[in-house]
Amino acid sequence: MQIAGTAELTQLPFFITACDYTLIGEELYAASAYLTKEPTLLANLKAADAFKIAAMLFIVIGVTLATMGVFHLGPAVFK
Amino acid sequence: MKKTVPLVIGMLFGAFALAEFYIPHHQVGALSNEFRSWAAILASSAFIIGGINILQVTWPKIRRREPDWGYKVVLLAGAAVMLLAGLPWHKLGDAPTHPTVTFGPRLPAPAPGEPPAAPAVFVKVPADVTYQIGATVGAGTGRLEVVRVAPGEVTIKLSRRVPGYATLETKATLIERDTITVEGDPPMMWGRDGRVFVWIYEHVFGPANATLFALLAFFVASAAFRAFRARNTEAALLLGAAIFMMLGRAPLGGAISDVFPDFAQWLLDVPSNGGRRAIMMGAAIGAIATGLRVILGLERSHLGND
Repeated sequence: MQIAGTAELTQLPFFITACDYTLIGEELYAASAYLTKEPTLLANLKAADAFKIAAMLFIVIGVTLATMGVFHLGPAVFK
Repeated sequence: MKKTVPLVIGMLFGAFALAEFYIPHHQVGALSNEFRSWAAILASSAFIIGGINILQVTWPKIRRREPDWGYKVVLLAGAAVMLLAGLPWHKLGDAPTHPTVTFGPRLPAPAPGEPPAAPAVFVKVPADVTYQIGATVGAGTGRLEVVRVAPGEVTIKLSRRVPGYATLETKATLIERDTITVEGDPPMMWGRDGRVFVWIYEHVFGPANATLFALLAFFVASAAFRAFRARNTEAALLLGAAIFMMLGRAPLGGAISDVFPDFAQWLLDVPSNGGRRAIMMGAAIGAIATGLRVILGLERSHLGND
């Protein structure tokens, strides 16, 4: 059985077609936590997930504001 | 101690690399450039250690005639040849950097009422050398060639069309009726841009690389055939996307309907692009987390296990 992992987008198609299982992107970083179950590594994963949720929220807020035509929050927030 | 010192060095330099972005002082930038030079030197040293390591690993296997020892001989011989070809040997000798320019007798004075003769440049270079005299470019023939130039400063360049040879360059100031003879033979260079290195790269490495990639195409095609079987929903989606993609990219799809190229482009621009960005962002956050672990000293795997 072949398992490959990469965060490099150009390598991904080759690995997906050629290997049985592929760790895509951040899964590569989660592999050690999954295998060892070490608390610090798991906490790390949790923190990374929290950051991802925050990033998603910011993207949604940004997209909504941009759709509404608000591009400069400065004067509205810091007046 | 063996682990603490590297850990502290890693923490300090990692923290500095991070802090550098938030301290817009020129001295911090200068220090950061200095550290980057150190990093480049360290990385170069790692290559030397890597070379020694390869020797330590492969040499005993060759001596014991272990299975596939012949490939290891090829590996070592290839590395040795590239090392020798990659060193700038040409800097050891006193190879010419300028063409030889000799002033000859001046052309006869013009008859009264006639304009003075333009300076004449006699070029005597081997047949495969290209010369540039001012704005005139020509190929050498091994015989004497005459180039007429306007008075003033003239740039003289001799080079070869084949890569890996030095360019001989000089300047000469000529007045009306001057004659000069330009001679020179651009010497072969060694090192990364040298003839031997470039030749091996283009004629050995290039074809070998192309061969391997050509084999990979067949391998990926057979692997894709296995992967694209509709075993579950994800595999079916992959299969469907691949079929539309192939139809959209091949001329056949466009001939059947305009929908195929448009849909293939939409697949690339929307779902594929979104997925790609998600992977990039996830990987970036993972890399940040790993970087922070190194800076905080939580990550010790890069220091070895013993």
